[in-house]
Amino acid sequence: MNSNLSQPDKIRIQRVRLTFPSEAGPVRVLDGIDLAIKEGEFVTVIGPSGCGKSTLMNLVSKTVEHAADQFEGTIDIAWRSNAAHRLGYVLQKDTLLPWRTLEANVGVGLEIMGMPSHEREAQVQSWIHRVGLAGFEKSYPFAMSGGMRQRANIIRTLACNPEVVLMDEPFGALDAQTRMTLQQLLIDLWHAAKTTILFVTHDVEESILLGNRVVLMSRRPAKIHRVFDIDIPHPRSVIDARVAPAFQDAYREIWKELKGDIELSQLKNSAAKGIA
Amino acid sequence: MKDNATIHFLRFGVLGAFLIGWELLTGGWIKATSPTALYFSSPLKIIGAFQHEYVVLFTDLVVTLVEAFAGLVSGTITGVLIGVLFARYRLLDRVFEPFFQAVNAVPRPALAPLLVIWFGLGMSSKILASWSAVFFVVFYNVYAGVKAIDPDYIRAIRLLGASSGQIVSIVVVPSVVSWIFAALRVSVAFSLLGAIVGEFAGATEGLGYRLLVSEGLLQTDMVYAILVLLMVVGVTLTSLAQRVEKRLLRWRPPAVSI
Ligand SMILES: Nc1ncnc2c1ncn2[C@@H]1O[C@H](COP(=O)(O)OP(=O)(O)OP(=O)(O)O)[C@@H](O)[C@H]1O
Ligand SMILES: [Mg+2]
Repeated sequence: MNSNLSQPDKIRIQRVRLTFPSEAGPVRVLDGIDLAIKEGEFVTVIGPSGCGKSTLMNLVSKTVEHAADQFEGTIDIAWRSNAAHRLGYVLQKDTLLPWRTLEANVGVGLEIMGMPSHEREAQVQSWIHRVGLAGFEKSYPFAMSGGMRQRANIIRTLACNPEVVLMDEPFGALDAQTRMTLQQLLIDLWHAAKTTILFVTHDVEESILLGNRVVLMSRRPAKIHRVFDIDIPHPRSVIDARVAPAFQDAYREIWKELKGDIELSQLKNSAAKGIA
Repeated sequence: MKDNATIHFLRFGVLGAFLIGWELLTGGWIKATSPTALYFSSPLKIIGAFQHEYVVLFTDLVVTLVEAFAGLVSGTITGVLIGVLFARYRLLDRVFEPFFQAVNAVPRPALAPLLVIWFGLGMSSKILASWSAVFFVVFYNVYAGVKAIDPDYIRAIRLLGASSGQIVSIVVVPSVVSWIFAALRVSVAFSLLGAIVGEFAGATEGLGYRLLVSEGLLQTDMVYAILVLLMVVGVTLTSLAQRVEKRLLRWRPPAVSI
């Protein structure tokens, strides 16, 4: 569903190349990434392990500095504000502070923003309710399940109302059922707020269920191999979307590309062995 | 496990049997004039010592507690400051580590006479002895605590837009505080130990001093009274520290028993 073609680009990644120094010489990880993401788009990124997905997210979030000779290209984000919390970044491992209760953890971003506590409490309460954590406000992280913790971890970021949210395999460590619940939750939250989301996953199904577009990266040195438009209307249901024809088409297409990639790499491996 | 009431009942039973046995053995069968009375006193005589000497005992107790408390506070503050500094600055850590280990290896009682030579018979030498016992406990705990702060917490909080100051107040301070409280029980016990040891080395007041004086005068009842007092104080303070620790460290998962 590419109805927002008229929207301006929110994130523009152009000719991004990145090389890591290593003992065996420089390793090129990203090899010319071009990607434009519209305001309010939900884009998912998949690709083989180690191809540089997390690296790309780190670059977009500007949380790591790179020497000029290692990094080329530009990453522009059309910010609407100057606020420190305009970008949210959710990692696979939840990083709730163990000495804070659930509500104090969810409110930490708002606290950093300097929101007065009575306002904060109301907001935190409403977020906790929305994700079904009511009743656990005073619980500490050690007494919460992985799914509960990740829920809190996500709303802690969303509560700050960021313009752009980056998510790096946030559901990677969860069991299938919890994962589905959280996928649905994320779809609903996105549908309500229309935040721009860039979401990394290694799960093909997840990438199609969540994304308006799926970006498939090639193995290292990574380029963008293909981009798939996913024409499943919103609001989606994770159960119904799975049986939508658009889902199945995309699933088949993506696997076709991935299979090619896998066979190619096996070919390369056996060729390398043959020489040795 | 038996229910709590039974356990308490049995404990009182053991205590009662011990006290009655002690009283009978020393008061009844062994004549007060016999030399054994000098060694073992008796529960009633100890109570008598409390009755006669409570003013002295109370004043000495206050002195010792003030010394220990001052040592605890100063030891904790300096331990935290230097612990954080060493954890943050690798150079300091690498240079001073062997010196700290060497000083810490000196048994505190052996240090006490020197402190008395330096600072005299008054309270300051006791406070310093107490400080020297507390400081290292807190220092090593805080040092380890700061080192153990998960860098992912700092990264995540920074990603939520925190300034460096906010990172300190939201991540660093709470973790350091939790380590201080984890060390609290030990540091309370050590502060008392330091004060008593300091008083042994030379003093004009305090429970340690009174203990030495009573020993010299062969006032065994008084020696026992002081020991009982120290025991009560020690138990009270450490269980108080344990309460505080439990309350403030609620967020830690309960320890797994093996
Ligand atoms: N700081 C670094 N220094 C050197 N090499 C690095 C560094 N960070 C990442 N790499 C290398 O860059 C490549 C890409 O890493 P990245 O973490 O971005 O992969 P990924 O696509 O997120 O993988 P996964 O799906 O397993 O999470 C890897 O081969 C990794 O070894
Ligand atoms: Mg990764």
